[in-house]
Amino acid sequence: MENNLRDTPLRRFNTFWWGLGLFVAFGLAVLILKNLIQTDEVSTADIERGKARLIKLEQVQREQAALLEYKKDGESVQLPPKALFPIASEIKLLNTTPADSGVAHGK
Amino acid sequence: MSTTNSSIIEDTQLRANIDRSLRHPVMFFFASGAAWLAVSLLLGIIASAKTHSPDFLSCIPFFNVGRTMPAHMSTLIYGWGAQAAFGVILWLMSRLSRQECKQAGIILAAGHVWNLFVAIGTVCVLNGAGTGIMWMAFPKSIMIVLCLTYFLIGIWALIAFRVRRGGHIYISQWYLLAAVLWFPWVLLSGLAFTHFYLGDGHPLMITASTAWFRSALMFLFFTPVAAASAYYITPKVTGRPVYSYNLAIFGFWALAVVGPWAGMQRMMGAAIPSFLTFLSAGAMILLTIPAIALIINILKTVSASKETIAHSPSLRFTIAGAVGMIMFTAMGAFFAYPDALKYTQFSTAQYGLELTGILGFFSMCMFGAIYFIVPRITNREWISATMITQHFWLFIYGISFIAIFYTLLGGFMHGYTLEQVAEPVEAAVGRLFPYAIGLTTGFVFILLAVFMFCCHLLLMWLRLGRRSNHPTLLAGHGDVHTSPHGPEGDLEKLEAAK
Repeated sequence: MENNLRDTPLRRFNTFWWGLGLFVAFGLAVLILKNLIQTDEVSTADIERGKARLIKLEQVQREQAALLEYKKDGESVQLPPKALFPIASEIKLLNTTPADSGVAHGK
Repeated sequence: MSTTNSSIIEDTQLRANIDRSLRHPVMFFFASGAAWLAVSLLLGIIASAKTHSPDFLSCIPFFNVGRTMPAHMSTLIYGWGAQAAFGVILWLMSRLSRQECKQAGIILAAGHVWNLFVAIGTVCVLNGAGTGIMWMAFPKSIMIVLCLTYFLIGIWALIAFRVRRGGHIYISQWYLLAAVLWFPWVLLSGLAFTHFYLGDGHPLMITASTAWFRSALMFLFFTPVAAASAYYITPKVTGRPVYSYNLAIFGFWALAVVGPWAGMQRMMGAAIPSFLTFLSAGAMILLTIPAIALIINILKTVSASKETIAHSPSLRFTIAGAVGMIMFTAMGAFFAYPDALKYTQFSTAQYGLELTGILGFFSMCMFGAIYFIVPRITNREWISATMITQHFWLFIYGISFIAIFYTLLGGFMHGYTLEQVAEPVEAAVGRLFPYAIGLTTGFVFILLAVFMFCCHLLLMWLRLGRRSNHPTLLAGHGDVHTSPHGPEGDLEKLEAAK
């Protein structure tokens, strides 16, 4: 059988390190790609929109706190369902109708 | 004439040396992979049974459906799929490169580490410490160790290719080389984006990157390994060259160009750039092209020797795998079509499609390869043609049931009911009931098949196979005096005659 001139210790050694380098290169490529595409900067438009959302959040939290004033710290309170229904109706939790989702994917 | 004879003897000797050098690592990967497949199917049966009988094993939190389901998929991917692929990659690459393996000890040690960490990861998932991300459910640290261990396994296939004898590169080597290089790329990218860049605060983007990861692992690792095996087994068993090499190379490049774009179609309608989802849906439909190239080549190659399909276990499994591939890609294309996607996106169709791909396509090709490789590395023939036949038919029944009944019918029924706004979600779950029972039944068939395969493989590993010059065939040759695998003890007679 003819000698295999390709099979040399140097070629095996080189391939091992080139292979290792290639595997590491995949990781590096992901790292570079991430830093090129995804930045940690937040645009000023988002900050402005965020301010409006924060105001709304404060308002919701204030209203929720008002609804829970009867609770005392460290005590658990159990309410009968009929005590909750008027509140649920008032905040329109009970009279919702399902939305039509027939065109969800047809856009 | 004497030069030709000595060349044949040298060639046979070289092949025997290659087989001997890889005996332990390859058998280890096949045997442990088969055991993990059985574990995965058991976990799949538990998860599936809980969808139609919620009280089943409800007293054991270990078997909560939220834990068994990711454990089932993780053991299927990293326990069975990856290890079967490693065994086939190492053996095929060495044989095609005509190079003995000189680092079997390192590969075997890496194989043990791989199995140890798959076992630890599975226990973590069952104990509630999983990440909850499908196909990446193992804790982050375990995934990193698996990634590092892969290097110690895959690098030797790369070295075997670089120091190969002869100038011609076979189509199987193209696919194997691609799988060896694409696997770390897909795994590292999936891990980096899911666990390091996105973290816990970005559930939407984690779902998107995982959708890509699952598809890429299927099309850029499992598919090329299965295709390499099919392109090796078919000409070897039939004794005919591949029907069209140009078509094979075209199929390879079609897979390489289109494969990485698929996956994101599952995110249709989500708050990600819509071009990504439509591009992925298009790629998913285009992936039928490499599948068609593969099946035309395989069927045309075997068309002149149809009886060989009936006789050869390797070829029968490989042909079934090629049919599985066309079924998998056709179903994938159908599910990705935007009008169909609203029924399949959130339904059981996606899980069923994954099972069809891994079990119906990839596993069938791997079984074909294992039935071909194991007799060569153990120097023994398979013990029972009946067990192989039963393995084949039970597996075919099980996976056909899952693909047609659960995935197609159940998936669309589930999706259709979910789309009905006037009906509560419970109605969709209720309508899924018969299909969930169908899934459990399909899994039971497959588990029985795998149990037979495991027992058979274990006996071969213990070198209790038949000592014969005749391969174990699935049908006789018309001579009532000979068994399907030739006369018993013929090897002993030959040795005594020397």
